[in-house]
Amino acid sequence: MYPHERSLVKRLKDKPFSLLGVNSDKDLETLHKRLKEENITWRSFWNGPMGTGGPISTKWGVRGWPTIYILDHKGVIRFKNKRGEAMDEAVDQLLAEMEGAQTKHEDEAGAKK
Amino acid sequence: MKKTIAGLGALLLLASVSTAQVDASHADSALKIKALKRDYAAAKADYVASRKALMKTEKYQELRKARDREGLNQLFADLDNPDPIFYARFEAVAKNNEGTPVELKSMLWMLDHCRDKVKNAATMQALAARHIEGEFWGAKLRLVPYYLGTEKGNLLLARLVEKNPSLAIQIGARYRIAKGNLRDKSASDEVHKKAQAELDDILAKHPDSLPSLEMKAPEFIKSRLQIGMVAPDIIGNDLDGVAIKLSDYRGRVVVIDFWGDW
Repeated sequence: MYPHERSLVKRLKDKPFSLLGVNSDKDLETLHKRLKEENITWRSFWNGPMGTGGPISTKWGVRGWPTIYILDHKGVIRFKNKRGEAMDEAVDQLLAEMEGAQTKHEDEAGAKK
Repeated sequence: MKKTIAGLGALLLLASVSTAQVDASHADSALKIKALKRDYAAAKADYVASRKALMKTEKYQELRKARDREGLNQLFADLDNPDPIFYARFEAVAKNNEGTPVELKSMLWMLDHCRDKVKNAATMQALAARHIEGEFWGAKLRLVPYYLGTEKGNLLLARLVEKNPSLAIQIGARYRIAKGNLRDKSASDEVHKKAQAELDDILAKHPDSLPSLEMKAPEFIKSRLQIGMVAPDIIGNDLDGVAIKLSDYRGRVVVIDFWGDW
């Protein structure tokens, strides 16, 4: 898990992309040690001292870990539970869409001039 | 008269010395717990590393291919799992510190590191007998009926509703009792009706409580979390305690990853 996430974050570090965790560990002290050991640099919400029974995962009805949602730049849910290579492909597709939308916008602006 | 006063003074002195001794021994025990936890973490890390190393050997691959369960068990049998060893140590510390915060810490560790339902039921009953007001119950409510069974579990949960000062824990305990009764097929229609009414009451009066969020989750997934829908905002804190919102990341492609280090 971690190696894939690390490489994804590294590969897309200059792109408008963020990996956001929702972490369900109960003990923050131990977790901070693990973040260092595993070089986990991406940001996470904390699900609170109840661990997997915390408010965010409970509201979202999460019952399996990891659970993945992939959102486009408009905040729309586009994919669920894509992992590994499939996650990379999904993210790349959404980044390409975003760039496409921007270029189109610039083209239109150019045409109006 | 003077003698009596002196005697009293001596008695008081004695009394204060013995409390000081008790305090000191509790402080020792607290340190002991810290040391135990540190030693356990180191032993566990060694154990996990040796397991991983074994899983890279050819012998392991062979046994796995052959689906030789016994062989696999034997391969791992030589490794010392630190859990039972440390369980006994924490248990001893708990016994020597009955009714103190040190006992509480030891028993919580025991509960988190044991798979034996009977042992865990006993630990839970001991926790209930001496630490019924604790905040830790919030994270254990689901486990109460799991370890104790519906009947005994519901008795403990009812005591939490009565005795625990946290409203969230009271609501959580009421929710677990009602859920248990609803699931109990041998219970009467009346019990089922009452349980349903209890759930409705929690939803109406405490809509943002964890039990209500849990009850509403299936509908929330259907109406808010489908592909093509704008994701609902998440507002909370990050792991450093800094405020963070999902909507802060609008304009970026985002992977939301519900994860834990386990």
